[in-house]
Amino acid sequence: MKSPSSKPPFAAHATTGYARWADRSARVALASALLAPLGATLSTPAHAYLGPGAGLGVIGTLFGIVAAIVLAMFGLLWYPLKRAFGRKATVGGPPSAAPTAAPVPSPDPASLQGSKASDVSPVTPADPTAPTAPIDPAARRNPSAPPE
Amino acid sequence: MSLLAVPVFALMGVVFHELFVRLNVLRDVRQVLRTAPAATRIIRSDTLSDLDKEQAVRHMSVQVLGDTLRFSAKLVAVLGTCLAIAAIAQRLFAISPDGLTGLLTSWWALGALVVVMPVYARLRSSAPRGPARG
Repeated sequence: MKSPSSKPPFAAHATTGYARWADRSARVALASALLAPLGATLSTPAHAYLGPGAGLGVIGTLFGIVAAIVLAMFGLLWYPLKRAFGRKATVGGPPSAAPTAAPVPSPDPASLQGSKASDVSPVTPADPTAPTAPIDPAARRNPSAPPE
Repeated sequence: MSLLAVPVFALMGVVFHELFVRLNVLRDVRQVLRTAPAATRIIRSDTLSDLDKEQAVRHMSVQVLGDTLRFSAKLVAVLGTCLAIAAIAQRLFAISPDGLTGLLTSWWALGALVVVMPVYARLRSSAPRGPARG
């Protein structure tokens, strides 16, 4: 059995969101600190000067292009694929896998004290035209549909 | 290296500052930096549907790309103008014996720009403004 002290030092207290972010940042900083001397050793002289204006411009341009690519991947790949696979699971999966509307809780009278009557809207079903009584299947059939 | 490099680079610094301010390069940079966190908030939103997120993220991707290209084009124009000034001065007066590259990488250039640009920006910000045009 592993004791809690056997965890890596950065992950020991990674329970909250901030702790996880700090843990990740510490790992990135550690990796950067280890890789920076290697990069400095392998680099060759460029015989050129890149001023702060052009340097910040290049950094800003790279940041913008990377951000645009990431957002485009979300918009063009992630959400369409998610929608497609979600629809497939809904059609082919068990009935319980289909998304269902969350039940609307009835308002608590105690929590409504002090509020005006106009502020409280009555709880209505999602579809006001939904039938409340069973309908004859013959009557549900579309009249414009061809006869079976 | 001729001392003529100092006024040439002073002129380059003034032109760079004026173009940078008048073309609103910083506004485009801020726009890019503002859109990226907004897109992150939309992606992580719990109240928006996936369809709304998809449309908003696509729109923001195009917006970020457009702002980035606009900002880059403006910066290239500003730097190209400064480079053209240096090239013209080098061609006319042969300021540096090492050509344009030697002129641009000289300590005279760096010193002149480091001194002139903050001083000009300070003078420009403290200059009295004219009446607002309406």
